[in-house]
Amino acid sequence: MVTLVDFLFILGLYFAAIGLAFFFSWVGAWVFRKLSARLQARRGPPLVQPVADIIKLFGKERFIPCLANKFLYILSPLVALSAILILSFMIPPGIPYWPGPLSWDLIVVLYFSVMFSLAFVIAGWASGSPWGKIGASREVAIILSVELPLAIAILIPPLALARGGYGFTLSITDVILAQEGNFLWTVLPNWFIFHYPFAALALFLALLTKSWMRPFGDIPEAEQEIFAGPLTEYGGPLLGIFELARLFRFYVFTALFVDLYLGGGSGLIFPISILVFLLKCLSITIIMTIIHVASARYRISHVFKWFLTVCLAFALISLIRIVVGF
Amino acid sequence: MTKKKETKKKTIPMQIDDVVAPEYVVPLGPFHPALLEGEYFKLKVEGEKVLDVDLKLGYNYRGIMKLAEDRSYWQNLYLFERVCGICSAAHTTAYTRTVEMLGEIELPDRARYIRTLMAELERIHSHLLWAGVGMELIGFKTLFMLIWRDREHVLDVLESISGNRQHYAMNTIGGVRRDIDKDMIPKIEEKLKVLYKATVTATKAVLEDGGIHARTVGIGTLDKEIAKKICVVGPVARSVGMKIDVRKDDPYDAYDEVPFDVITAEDGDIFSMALVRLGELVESVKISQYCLDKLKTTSGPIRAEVTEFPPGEAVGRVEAPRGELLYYLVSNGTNTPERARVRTPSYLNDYALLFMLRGQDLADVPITVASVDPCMACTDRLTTITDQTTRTQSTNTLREVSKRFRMK
Repeated sequence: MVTLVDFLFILGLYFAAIGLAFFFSWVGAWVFRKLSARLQARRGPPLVQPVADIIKLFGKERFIPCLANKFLYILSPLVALSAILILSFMIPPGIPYWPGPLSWDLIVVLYFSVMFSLAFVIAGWASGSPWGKIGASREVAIILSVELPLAIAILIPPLALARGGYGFTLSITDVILAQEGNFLWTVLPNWFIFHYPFAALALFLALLTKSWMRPFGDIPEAEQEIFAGPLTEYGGPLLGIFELARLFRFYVFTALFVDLYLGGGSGLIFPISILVFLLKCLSITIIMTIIHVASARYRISHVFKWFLTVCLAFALISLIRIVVGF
Repeated sequence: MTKKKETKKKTIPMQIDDVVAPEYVVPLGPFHPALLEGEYFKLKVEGEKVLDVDLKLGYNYRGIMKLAEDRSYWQNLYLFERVCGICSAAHTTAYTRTVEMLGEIELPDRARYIRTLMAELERIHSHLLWAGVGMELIGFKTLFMLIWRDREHVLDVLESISGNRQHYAMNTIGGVRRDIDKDMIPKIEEKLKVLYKATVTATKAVLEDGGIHARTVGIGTLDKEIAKKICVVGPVARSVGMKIDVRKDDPYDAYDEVPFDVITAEDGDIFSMALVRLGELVESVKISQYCLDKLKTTSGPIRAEVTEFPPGEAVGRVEAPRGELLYYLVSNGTNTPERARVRTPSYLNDYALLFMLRGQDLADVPITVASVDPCMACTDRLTTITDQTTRTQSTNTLREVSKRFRMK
């Protein structure tokens, strides 16, 4: 029986989680932009820049192109933002006992991560521009190639827990709690990245691509080829909503990786655990940024080849290890 | 009855195999982030494959050849300098060379070395610019930033010699306008060392990076037979194995005594075009160093006396960074040319794109277009105007154009 107090508590927690996610993603976006600028011999923006850009967009003219499907054109940024907000609530930000999510929240995470990508596809098709359509078709190709290794890599920690006698669970909180302590003569922390490194690599590559980072990720918005891809026709507040959703992406996907494979904030007291969690997220962001900066953009055919052979093989190696019990 | 049944084939809307994706025309240009200047590629695209290409030029027409007939030989120096911003030294070298052939003027030694030095420094700046843009077009923004950072060094050198980063205004008929001081030479040599290092780094990156290989090797391949038919010049011709270089074939300035290699490659794809240009960067640094060494020892005037331009005609050609640049001048004995004709290298190389782009992925179109290093400001010679209502085409004379755009 859910009382009013429980309901208000969960509602408050929801807003606290969104606020925390917003702060984390702000820092992540700034680290991404500053670091890539410094690596490219530029100065880089100040800390307020990622949010200032979005605020500026909300002050601009509202505009809908005449060729666009009006309903979908307005709907798709809202779908993207709501999907990423739900994701940022589902993923515990370094607090071990996160009461919000349900016992099957990994499925919800998978579902909404696809939903987020699909919002860009809808945006590209709805905007009525050839560049938007090409960008949308590229995004579809990326979804088709990335989602299979991503799904396997996300489901490997709970499968490993079920194999190890924890009982079948699809809750991220259970996955985080299971990563407390040490193993291998107490040298290494008990994180899944050390148990299943190949699956962690597959998840990392998939999330890198889903965050629209090079070498594979920024194909849908390759500005030298198709302007801004799905977002070519967007401007003003609707683009602002999309940019806000993309700001949250800097946090959400790194947080998912940290929670599933790097132990989240496990084994620490409440305020310190959030700090440690933020540091882990930032280090993942830094690694992603360095890969983004140090690589050229591949073609869409390369994405198919890479993710349905190499990356899928990485995920399957870990899956076979769980099935065989090695 | 049976025939009707056979013809009624059901097409499944989202089937993957053997389905013909809808063809549509993608406009690349006139203004596009991949193109630095106005040009229009009409790409007929099926899915991501380019089926057919059409090219439309003429967005940057300024009527320079007609203007040249109204100006004196000395005024034309400033006009032809402004045909192109990137290869301004090459244009004035070609123009002054043609005028010097008309008037049979001998260049002083020092002027020859300074001209060669300026031409090679310009080639370094142009090729580095190309390499940076090429890297940006395959999405390698970092290398673009780093190459353009290093390009600033050569612009510094050009600025210290001539006072300008572009439009150096160094060449004049019969010589050069500014001398290079003895105490300036060590500073230039220092910068040349930095440039050499930068070139080696860029070459290493292009040779070793898997991402660059995946985007350039075997992409935009130009067939050697087609290349010969459409008479491509410069690095594009050298990348398909044609060993043509005006600096070697028809030496001008100091090129007859400078030792250098003509860099060629075999494959004709974007990778070999990049290799040719990067190899030429190294050669250019060497030639510049040679000229600086010679400048230390030679002395004398930097320009010859010019008195008159006898009637006749002359064709002068130089190797611009993009290839053979050809000037044709007719003199009638007065101080203005009767006719001036400029044929720029991009004018020839652009048509290679029609063959290179067919069958490519849409993702490879920008880098393929950039691979021939098109320079639209040089190329546009004529503009035709299509009336949208009557569909008739017309060319405008200079007088009509000036009537439209000049204040009365």
